[in-house]
Amino acid sequence: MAKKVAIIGASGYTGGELLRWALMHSEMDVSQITSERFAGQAATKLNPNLRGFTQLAFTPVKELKNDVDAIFICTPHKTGAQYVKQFFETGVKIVDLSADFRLHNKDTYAKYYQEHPHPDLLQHAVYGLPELHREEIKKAKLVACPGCLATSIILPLAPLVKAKLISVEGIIADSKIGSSAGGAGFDISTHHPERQGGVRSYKPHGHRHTAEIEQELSAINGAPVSVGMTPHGIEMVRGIMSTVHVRQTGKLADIDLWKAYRSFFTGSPFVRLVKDQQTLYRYPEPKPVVGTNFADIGWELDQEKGRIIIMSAIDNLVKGSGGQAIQNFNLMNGFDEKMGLWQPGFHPL
Amino acid sequence: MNMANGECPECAGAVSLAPNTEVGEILSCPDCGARLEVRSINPPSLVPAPKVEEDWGE
Repeated sequence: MAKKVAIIGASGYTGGELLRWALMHSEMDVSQITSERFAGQAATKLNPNLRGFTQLAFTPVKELKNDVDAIFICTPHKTGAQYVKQFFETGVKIVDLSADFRLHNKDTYAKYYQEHPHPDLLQHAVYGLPELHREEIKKAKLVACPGCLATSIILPLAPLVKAKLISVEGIIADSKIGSSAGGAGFDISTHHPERQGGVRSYKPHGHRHTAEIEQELSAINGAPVSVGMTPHGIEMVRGIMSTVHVRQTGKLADIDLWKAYRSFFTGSPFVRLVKDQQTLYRYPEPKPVVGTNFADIGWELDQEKGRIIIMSAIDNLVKGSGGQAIQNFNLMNGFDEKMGLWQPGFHPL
Repeated sequence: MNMANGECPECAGAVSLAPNTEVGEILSCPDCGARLEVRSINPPSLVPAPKVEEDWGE
């Protein structure tokens, strides 16, 4: 029997994307979607792509019925923690897409966000990157979905950190990200005349996702890993392209990197290695992954400078949030990790 | 008839050799796209194919 699920905060882009996947999932029955602002309105008013697929309307969260098997929380940070607190003791499985349970350390959370409202629950959360924590996610009651930028940077670095092929100091990630990552809210920075044609570095250092990147890579390394990350908002709706610059610890050949990546991602169906000598698409780029749960990873060795340039591409709304949430739900419920997610993107797009 | 698998010398990926593959044939690695020359069929052996180069002679 399909699992009955509810989505809290379903009116944003993340919630809408999650709803799209959930409606098509053979083992999910979306019974309720909540929004305070759009309560009473049909989901299709905000998500016209779902016309003909659902009759659901938004309800206030106070009307949420207590008869679901799983809850997805798609609210901003701090609000997410309140709902986790409210539902954790009921035994329902929770997939939190907010940032509130990604960090294990409450002091680190306070540094990047604010005082954590429920630090006692942090110990129960599993960082929901299946490629790193698959077995823990299977047993978890509370999974914290990673940030989109973090996903695009942790995945290409993890195999090389684990294999000790790169220096863990001075790693630099340069990311380009689509406007949907800014959410469905709007202000002057998202206004069309301001955004059109723009390439904007909006947080040259200290981006919040840096904390979870360093947390996860340091755990793999067994010692601190330092990563500097600079995101740029560009004229693209969906997608992230991260270019990560690292230094080799020794003289490497391409085949060493192929082996390290293959070894790490064996059994991870949503990671594709993209480093092709012949096609137009020799390295990862966002377009082939838009609308999919894939993370494409490629690299190039710069032997003269002793560097490796690593490239990764994801759809920020799929592998970066809604799709990854479904992937976690699948694992938590003993389903095939690919269930409801296994589809290619569009080409051309 | 089963296809034999050779190993790409560039990325260590598996490269299938169809039953009618001949020595000297040029294949592409499905993973990294390297052009590979079939050196032997049994056991399967692949080497990087010669690059196309200008040959002006002497």
